Amino acid sequence: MGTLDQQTADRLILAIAGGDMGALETLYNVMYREIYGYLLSTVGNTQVAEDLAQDTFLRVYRYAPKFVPTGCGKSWVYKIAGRLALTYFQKNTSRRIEVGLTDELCSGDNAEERAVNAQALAQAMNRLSDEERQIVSLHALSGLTLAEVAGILDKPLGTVKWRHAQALKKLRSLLGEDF
Amino acid sequence: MKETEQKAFQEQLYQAIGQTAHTVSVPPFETVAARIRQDVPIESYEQFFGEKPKGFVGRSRAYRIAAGTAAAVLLVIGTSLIGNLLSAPQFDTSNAAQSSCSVYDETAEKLEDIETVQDESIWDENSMKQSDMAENLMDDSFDVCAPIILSGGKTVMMPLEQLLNDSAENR
Repeated sequence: MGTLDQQTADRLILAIAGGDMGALETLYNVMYREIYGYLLSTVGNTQVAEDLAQDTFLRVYRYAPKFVPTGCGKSWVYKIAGRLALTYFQKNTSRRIEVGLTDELCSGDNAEERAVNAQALAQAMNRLSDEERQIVSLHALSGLTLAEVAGILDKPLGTVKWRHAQALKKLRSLLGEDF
Repeated sequence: MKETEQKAFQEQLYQAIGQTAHTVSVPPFETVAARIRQDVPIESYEQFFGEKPKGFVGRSRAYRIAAGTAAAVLLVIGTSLIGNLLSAPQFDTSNAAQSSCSVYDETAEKLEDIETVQDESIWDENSMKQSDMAENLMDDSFDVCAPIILSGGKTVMMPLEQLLNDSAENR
């Protein structure tokens, strides 16, 4: 996860603003999984997460002409995804997390163990507050620093660090040290 | 929780989260491109997709179509207005004139029926008496009157009945 750095994201978004659909496809193929994972941990529904993920790249294309390259292109894409998740929350107060066990998780060596771990992880993540869950998934999937995560969520760095520490503590108590 | 333990747990946690996300299949980019096609302005469509959209009508052709339609509408409206103006009926004053003429004719006929009695007896040298009589006659309601020319040249209308009675007395 987090194979795309900020500067590369900047160049791709500028190319998209210039009408390069190939750049948009590249950005889509590289970032879709992490954007989807972030949205899934936030909204808790696979179908909704998939729809919001596609909406994210639709808005990347639409707003690319307004993007100002300051070395935060990746954060900009995550910010769009976060705004979409927030809009979804405002319209849907109830949240239910679903555990999507993919074929890869359910096959191969230790498939059962991986499936159990994935389900346990999902249930544990569901016990966190929305803000804690967002911080943990964003930090885990994007490879961004906590300062960049704070910028995406529009929250003070100190608050993000505190929430992050609290979330890890909770997860450890729920999952155990080795899960 | 010690910092090293926290870092180890975090690494394991993030690996699990990433593994879960990594197994997600990426939908074809065409699903996004199809939605973008509906959103792309026509002017930018060819730039993005290398072809003109289906059913595309160029701007100049659209302007020509709009101008032709407007001209046809104006032609229809104008023709209708001109046709209404040409078929409007003229104002007929013949009836009014005829009615007023009929009243005039009737009056003229009455005047012609009245015989102007010119009896010398009436023409008295005492013009004051005659003028008084004429003035008195003028006060009477006008019914059938005859114009009487007095010696002074003054013309008065005298009821015919009165005129005839005076004439008989003077004889």
